[in-house]
Amino acid sequence: MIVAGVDVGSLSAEAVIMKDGEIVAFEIITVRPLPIQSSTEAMENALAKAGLKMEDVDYCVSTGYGRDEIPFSQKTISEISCHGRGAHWCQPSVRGIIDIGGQDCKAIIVNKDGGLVDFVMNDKCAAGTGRFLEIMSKVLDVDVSDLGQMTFQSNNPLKISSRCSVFAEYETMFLLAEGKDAIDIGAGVNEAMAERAFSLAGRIELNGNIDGDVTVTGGVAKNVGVIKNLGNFFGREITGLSLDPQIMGALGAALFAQMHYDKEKE
Amino acid sequence: MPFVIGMDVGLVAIKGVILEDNHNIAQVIKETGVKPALAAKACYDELLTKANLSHGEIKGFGVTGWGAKRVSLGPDLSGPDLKIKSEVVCLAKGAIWALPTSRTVVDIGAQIVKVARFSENAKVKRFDQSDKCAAGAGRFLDIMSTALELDVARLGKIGASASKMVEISSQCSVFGESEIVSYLNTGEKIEDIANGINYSIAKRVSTIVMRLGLEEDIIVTGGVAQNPEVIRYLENMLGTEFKRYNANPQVIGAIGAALFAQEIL
Repeated sequence: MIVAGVDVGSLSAEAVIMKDGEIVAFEIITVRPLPIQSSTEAMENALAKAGLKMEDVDYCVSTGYGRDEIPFSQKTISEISCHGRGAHWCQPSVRGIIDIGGQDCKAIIVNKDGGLVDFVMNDKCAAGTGRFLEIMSKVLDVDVSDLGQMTFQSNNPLKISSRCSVFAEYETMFLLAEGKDAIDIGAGVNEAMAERAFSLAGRIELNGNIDGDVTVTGGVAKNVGVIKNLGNFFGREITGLSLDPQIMGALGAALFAQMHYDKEKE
Repeated sequence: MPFVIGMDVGLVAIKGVILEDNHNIAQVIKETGVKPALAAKACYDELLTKANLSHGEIKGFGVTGWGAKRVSLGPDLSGPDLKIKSEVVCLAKGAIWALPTSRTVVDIGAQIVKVARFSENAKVKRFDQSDKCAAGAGRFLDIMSTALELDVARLGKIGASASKMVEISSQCSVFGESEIVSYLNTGEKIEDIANGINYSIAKRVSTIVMRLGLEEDIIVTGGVAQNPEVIRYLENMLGTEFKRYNANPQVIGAIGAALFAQEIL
């Protein structure tokens, strides 16, 4: 049995192909103007890697904000359920998931079976989302993927006090103009980001007291500086995942595809 | 009567004026840039050149605005000691100067929307502001007009020629920018989007104003006051008419700062 999950976000799209309960291929691409283009490209690339064709897929579930516009999926499921399911499958000890995407941030609590218990989401404000990091790295003139290291390189992380990304951008410009070190500012940016995600998680009582592990998914999970700071806020180490944290939504969708295929066959 | 300088150091622009006997004889508006103290020094020098005055002739110097403290740390301006005053009291003072019957000022700056109610002698009675976020402030308009590749000064006029309104659902400036790009991609017209932007900023400002309550006459100050469509929408939403006055709405805070400097001479 071959199932697929596709996750079309605001900045990237992912596809995961599973065969008999194992991942056989996945793909991450930067989004195209339309969700149908993004999903088709991600899917076709992943299928090509697995040496498969679209016709071989028995069931496909789509998720992410563009999930309703994907013609080849049989079902749509919210990215909250998918991220929870995917991360839990990857690491069954996980109960708390913080998903930081390009334009939103979610905190999710799952039960021992990976089912959704509670969640909270910020998609109203760019603070605490991947966009915040993108804006800051542009001001600092570094690649967003280099920002994470700065937490480990800096001896004196600077505080970014503005919550609003627009004001934080100015704050950073003034710090640079005062001659402050970009590394210290970058370290402060990672800390500010982690603080916002932690405070969002606190709203569903996802904190250091949770019974189980906490992990981070989404593109920002690749920022080691944010992860380190989140670990400090939670007072425990953030559990790493054995797979790319960016594909958890698509993986969860593929797992749901498997469940629904089984159910429909019965 | 001696000459005094007032300066309002905003996040985006520095506004400077010279008053002589309560009359505004020179004004300069400059970009703040990343070195506010240097920009303030340049503004000060330009004011002197414009009014054809020397450093020694300036007897008072009042400063207000976001960057006021940064100016005091900057290079010596070779003038009198500067007096720092909060923006809200300067706005009230400037509002009474611009329109003696005014009792409420709505200031839409780049960073913050401020609303203050005050007495006939410019004593502030109530005050509220949006301070955590750029939504509703001038920076929002800047970002949106950049996304439309329009000069922000033209946003009002272009919006007025719209045949419909493309509503902007995001309050966040960052997300609003992406939203606008997607509208452009789906073929929406620039004027219809501009119309939506003007409406959205008025809506945001009106909630702050309504929280405080209005007392007539009302004047609107700050850079965004130069956008007639925002003003028109705001008047409709609040069910009132703002009083027009004969001064640049951007310099009202600077004038207030100058008046304070004049008082303590």
